[in-house]
Amino acid sequence: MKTVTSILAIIFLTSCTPTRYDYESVQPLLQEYRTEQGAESVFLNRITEHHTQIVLSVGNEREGMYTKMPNYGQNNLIEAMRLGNGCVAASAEHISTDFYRELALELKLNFLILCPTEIGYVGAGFEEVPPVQALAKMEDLAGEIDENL
Amino acid sequence: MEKLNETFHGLFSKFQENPFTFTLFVILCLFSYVIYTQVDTLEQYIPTPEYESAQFEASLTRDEQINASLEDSRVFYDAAGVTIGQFHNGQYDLTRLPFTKVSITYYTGDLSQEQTINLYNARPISTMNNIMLDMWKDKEKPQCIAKATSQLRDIGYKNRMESIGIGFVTLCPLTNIRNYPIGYLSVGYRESDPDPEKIDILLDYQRTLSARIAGYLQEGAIRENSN
Repeated sequence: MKTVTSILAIIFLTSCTPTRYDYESVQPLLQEYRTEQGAESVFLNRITEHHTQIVLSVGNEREGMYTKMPNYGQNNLIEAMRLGNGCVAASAEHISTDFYRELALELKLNFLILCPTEIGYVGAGFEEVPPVQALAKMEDLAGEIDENL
Repeated sequence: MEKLNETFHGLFSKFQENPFTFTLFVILCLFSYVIYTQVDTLEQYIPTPEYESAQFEASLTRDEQINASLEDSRVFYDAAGVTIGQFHNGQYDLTRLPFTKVSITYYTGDLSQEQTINLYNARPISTMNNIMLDMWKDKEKPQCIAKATSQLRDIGYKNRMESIGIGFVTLCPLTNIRNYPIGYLSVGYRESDPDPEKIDILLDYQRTLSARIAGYLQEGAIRENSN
């Protein structure tokens, strides 16, 4: 009985938890943006009612970066996107949540551009402040991701 | 019954003796009774120290968010300065007609100590009349604008910008949830002739930034009302 329950639990978890595989169709788009704009890392973040999680990333990586984070103590940049109904350009030092601030700084993502998508947001991290054109390109990337997912 | 009758007659004779004082006395008694019965309700309107402390904390958080947003924008825009101007009254003429003024409430930039001395002083909105008309040409849908300092038609505003070495400005309106004007967000650049494609991107982002700033400012107001 225990074995059956465990198998059912595994099937349930694997079918409900988003995997990198679910989003790999847009990986070339992220890679293209990274190459063209000179970003250190480009990532896709999924936001659900209770959690936020990086589900795909190209470029600099770190162990544990795909950890599902609870939404309480909500990230101020997500709030900024919601209030402005658009993209956000921000210094990593100004990220309110410790997990994402430390992650960004550790990966040398000193300046971030984030744009909302239907599943959450797409973002890019730069070591130096990027030119403003990188924001327009990120908006285009968000649109392409919505079309392809 | 006889006692009640006596009391009534006594009161009536008092009323006949001095109707004005008697009426005033009755009104005062009724008013005191209302105050006595409604004291709990009235207490709710008096801000408690906890309420005021929460308000102060909320305003500190709001200011922190706004200042961080302005600092990031300034770096990203490579701008000389980013300011938020908020509209207000505050003074009246002798006929109680309000003076409409604008005050800089948030600023981040590279101005020297000397140049910031008068920065936060309230100024009449009339000193920025033309640029305000440009922004609020369509009252229902105010828009962001970009202008070279040399093109500014408001002499006072133009002189201020020139005196601090600003060659180009972009401004976006700030409105509340009822679309009522509450101020503006302006960004000043040293260069006087930026690339038109760059201006489009700057204005596009400044539009979302001003919506965000208005959101921060409004959430404070919403919190005030809901508490």
